[in-house]
Amino acid sequence: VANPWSESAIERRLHGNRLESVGKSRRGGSQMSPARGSTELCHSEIRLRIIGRNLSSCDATKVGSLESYVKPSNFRSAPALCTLGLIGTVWLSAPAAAHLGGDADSVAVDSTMMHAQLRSTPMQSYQLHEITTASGTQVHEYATTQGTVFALTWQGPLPPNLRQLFGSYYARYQSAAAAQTRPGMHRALIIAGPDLVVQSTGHLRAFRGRAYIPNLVPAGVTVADLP
Amino acid sequence: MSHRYRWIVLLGLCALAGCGGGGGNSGSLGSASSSGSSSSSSSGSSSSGASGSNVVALVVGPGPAAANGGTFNIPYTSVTLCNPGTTTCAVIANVLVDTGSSGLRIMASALQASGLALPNTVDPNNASNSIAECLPFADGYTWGPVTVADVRMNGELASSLSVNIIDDDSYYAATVPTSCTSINSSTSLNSVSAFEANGVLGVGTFDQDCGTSCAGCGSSCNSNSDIYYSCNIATNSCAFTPVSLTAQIRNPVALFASDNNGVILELPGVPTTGQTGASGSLIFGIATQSNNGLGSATVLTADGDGNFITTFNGQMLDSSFIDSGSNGFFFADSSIPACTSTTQNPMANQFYCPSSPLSLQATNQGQNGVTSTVQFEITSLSSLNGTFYASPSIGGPAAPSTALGSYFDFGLPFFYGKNVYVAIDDKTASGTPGPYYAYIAN
Repeated sequence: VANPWSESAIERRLHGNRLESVGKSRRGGSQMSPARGSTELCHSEIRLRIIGRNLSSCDATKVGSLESYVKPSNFRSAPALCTLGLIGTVWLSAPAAAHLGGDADSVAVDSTMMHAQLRSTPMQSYQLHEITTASGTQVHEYATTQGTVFALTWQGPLPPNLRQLFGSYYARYQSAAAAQTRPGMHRALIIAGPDLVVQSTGHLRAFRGRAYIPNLVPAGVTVADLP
Repeated sequence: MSHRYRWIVLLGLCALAGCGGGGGNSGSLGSASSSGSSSSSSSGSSSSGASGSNVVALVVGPGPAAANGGTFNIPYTSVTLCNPGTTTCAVIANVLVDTGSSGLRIMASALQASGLALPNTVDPNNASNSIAECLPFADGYTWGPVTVADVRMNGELASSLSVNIIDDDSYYAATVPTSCTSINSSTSLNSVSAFEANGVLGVGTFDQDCGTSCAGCGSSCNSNSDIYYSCNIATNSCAFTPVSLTAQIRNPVALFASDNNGVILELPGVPTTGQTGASGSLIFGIATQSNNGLGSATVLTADGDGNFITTFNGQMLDSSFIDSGSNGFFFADSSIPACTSTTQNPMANQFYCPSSPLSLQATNQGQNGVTSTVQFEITSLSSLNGTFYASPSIGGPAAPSTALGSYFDFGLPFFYGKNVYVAIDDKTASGTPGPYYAYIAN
């Protein structure tokens, strides 16, 4: 029996997800399942994967879609997970605050809420958390070294749940967007407020955007250069 | 006055109360055949066109009355929808022809006005439910049910095509789910005025509007994998559901018996200062008939997202596209001043207002390595005559280029004086697999 924790197993899974996500592989129309997704927002009880902040000795790129394999009884496999940068698995009864401006835990909440894969990489002056959703949309959350999310970007076939990602900033985003008159389809929404900048662009099956809180951007970080 | 909205938009720029008038809504777009006429007329409207059973009229004008005159540079056609297998049909005029999306979407209000009733598509997995769609846009979403119609455009027929009804009049009893309003800005685009059109005919590079993600999400479909819902109208509840590739909202062209590998948009040249309108042709198929050959057009193959690379001002813009649904050239250039928004004209800052006309150029490069330099002009929106619905020199700012990449949106101004080809992603057109764009001066 293949070890689900093996790199090859994870790679296969990652690879499979990517194939599906880019929409280039034609898989025919026979995958329809009678089962139906019922996920509207978050479940009241969610599972979090906490990714170690110090991944320098691990290959973070191998941290893939482990979530579906993780069961409470797998706690004992933590040593094996350590090599993958996964240092533990916890159950929470309710999501912590998760948003732009939120703390590092909120990134994990975002990932779980979005049924997505997460990997985290410490950079020189910020932390990069990468979330890959089921459709293949990639969300990057940028946190200060203290853990506060100051910027995020997204790119992929479906826009991410911005209500989730923006958290308490979503209301002001909504009102700023609603204040704009739509002058035809520019396939862009650009908001440049003093406390929130949002650039949402793209067309069907290819969306892209970024948002940041200017006064939370760490010194020395240029938002335009964020990968 | 059908142009009230337009006046609100342009008054501040024109700075005079009588800055323009006239026009009126275009009520005569019902004919599905091409006029085949040519050359400019004295009224300031020009036309060009092909003829044949694979050709329908493509008209740039004020659009539907409900749009209050709309903005400008919006190309319309007419689409005939019929109850599947019957001759019970209606013509919907003033449908936006959009190379930036795929699939036919009709405003519920326009369908109601036509008198045609189309049945909601029953969920194949739950006979009590019907299928609905939440379609994301960069600046909001549309919501409404999926229905099925035989769709005719001149001699072309897409049988039993899934059509998305944009529920602008709330006839669909299942109201928009929170998960739909949580994408992007939560701004509803369910209105004729949001699109300045009675519907959208998406003839872009994709066959389906979602693809494998929505078809294969199985029991774990959610807003990150899916845009389709199964809705119970009685209980007003909706849940994500997978929808097969064939049942998704599809580019109608892909369902035609032949002429199904793409389209050509053919519009006449328009003077830099603009004119009241323009008439051209929407031609179905690429190199399938004597009237739709590729000729010596420049072919830029696109990536899986339907994009190519544009180099402008030294910036490499990796996600560029050609979009008849955009009413200007949209690109980032901080040296060009945007117009000033006012209370009366809140959208002016989404266009450029250079102090004098600018001659610019950009270089496009396809995945196939083919490059093509495009010359274009940008004039101030404030100089556009209020009665002109066609202008080849309107542009506006895009999101600035970053490490994430950026784009150049070649909107309708790019199409004037050209034949623009759009080849569908799973087809081959004139020997080259789609997706691709091609263009040539006409």
